[in-house]
Amino acid sequence: MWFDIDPSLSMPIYQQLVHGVKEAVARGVLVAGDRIPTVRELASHIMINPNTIAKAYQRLEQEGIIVTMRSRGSFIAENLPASSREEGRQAIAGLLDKVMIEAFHRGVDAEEIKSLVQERLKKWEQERGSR
Amino acid sequence: MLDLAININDISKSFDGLTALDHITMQVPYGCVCGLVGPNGAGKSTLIKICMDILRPDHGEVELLGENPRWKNRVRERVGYVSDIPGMYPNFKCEEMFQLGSKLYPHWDSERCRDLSSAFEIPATRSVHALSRGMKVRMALVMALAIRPRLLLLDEPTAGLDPLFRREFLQVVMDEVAGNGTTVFYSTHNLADLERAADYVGCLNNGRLLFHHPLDEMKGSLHRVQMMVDDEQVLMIQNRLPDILDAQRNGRLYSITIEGNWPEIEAVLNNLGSFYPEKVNLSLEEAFVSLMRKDGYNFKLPLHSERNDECFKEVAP
Repeated sequence: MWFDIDPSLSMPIYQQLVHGVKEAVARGVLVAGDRIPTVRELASHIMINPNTIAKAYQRLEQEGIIVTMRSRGSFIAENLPASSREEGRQAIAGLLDKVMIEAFHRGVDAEEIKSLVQERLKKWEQERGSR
Repeated sequence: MLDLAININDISKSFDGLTALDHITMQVPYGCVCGLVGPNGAGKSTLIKICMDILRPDHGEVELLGENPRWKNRVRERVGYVSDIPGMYPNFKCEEMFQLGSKLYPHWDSERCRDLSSAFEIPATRSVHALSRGMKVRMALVMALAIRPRLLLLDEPTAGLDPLFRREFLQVVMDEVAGNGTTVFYSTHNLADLERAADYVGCLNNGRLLFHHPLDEMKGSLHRVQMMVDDEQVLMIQNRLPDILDAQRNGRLYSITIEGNWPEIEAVLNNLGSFYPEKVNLSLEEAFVSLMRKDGYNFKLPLHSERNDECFKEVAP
């Protein structure tokens, strides 16, 4: 689930929650209008400090990914914002660096990486298309 | 200035000439969860007992909920206390303890007491002395929550208890914080639980407060970095980065734990030549060990396997 976090990671828990929601939205697991648990529900369910969860929800609200309606709870926003293009490119480039380090140690060459990327992109589009 | 649920001001305490607490000052804002860690004998229980006015400090004072608990009953009736060995009248039945609670505490919530004791399956007609330790801790937690606390002081409440109960305990306490904005101050050795539950972490060692920081800030300012180096580069790194908490070297692989701003540290390392610094995960437990080591905690144990210094070269930071 998107709220399965690992407290022992260096990444602060609220960031893990923000990332979890973003990932679930990107994968189509959460779609516009889906309700997410209230801070209190989630705090006791995953045993995480409610202030941490509130901080994550605030961040998600500021970024326009969720909308909170008093008394009704929080929902995935209808019009999701496109994040800044340059910011997005940098984040992806950082992840690709990690892929290349791993590929070096496992003896996977550049051509293989390229064909793998193509293959994964195709699979991803098929999965999203079927939702 | 934030409103403070706990204001510990310059507290010192010694027992038979031995210093247990040495000028401790720390503050916890309302609605926060503050975890207190440190080795056995560091002074955690003494500090919590002074907050509860079970022990008197030699110096300094404590304010809970804005008042000195020593003089004000209206403070004590809003402070729930759970310790690893809860003190209750051994010959009372559980239901009699609850009745006593309802008479002593003016904000007693009978419904909450009933719901929690049925959820925890507390045997109403059994005497307290016949309860297991786990059940006594459950009893103490029910009583601490039934008083409608504004502050919970928990002294290693789940030490030695099974993981299922630890989970239940944490869920109930997190629900209390979320639902009622209750402030929590608790000591624990369980760093994994602490990482989940705490806003603030305070660390005691030998009666001194080593640090007291927001957990997120602490995670953001402590880093473990691995890189490839030769002897000369190790010296350069040590010269340029004075805030290394601990360092280990295994052949060409050099791993440091360091405090500070990551982009700045990364820039310094990159300027010293190319040896591929890579940030690796640092759990709170490892961070804690590094900080304790820096404070002089002795980790030299008489282990069966003799340590080969070629493999684990500890480099004095």
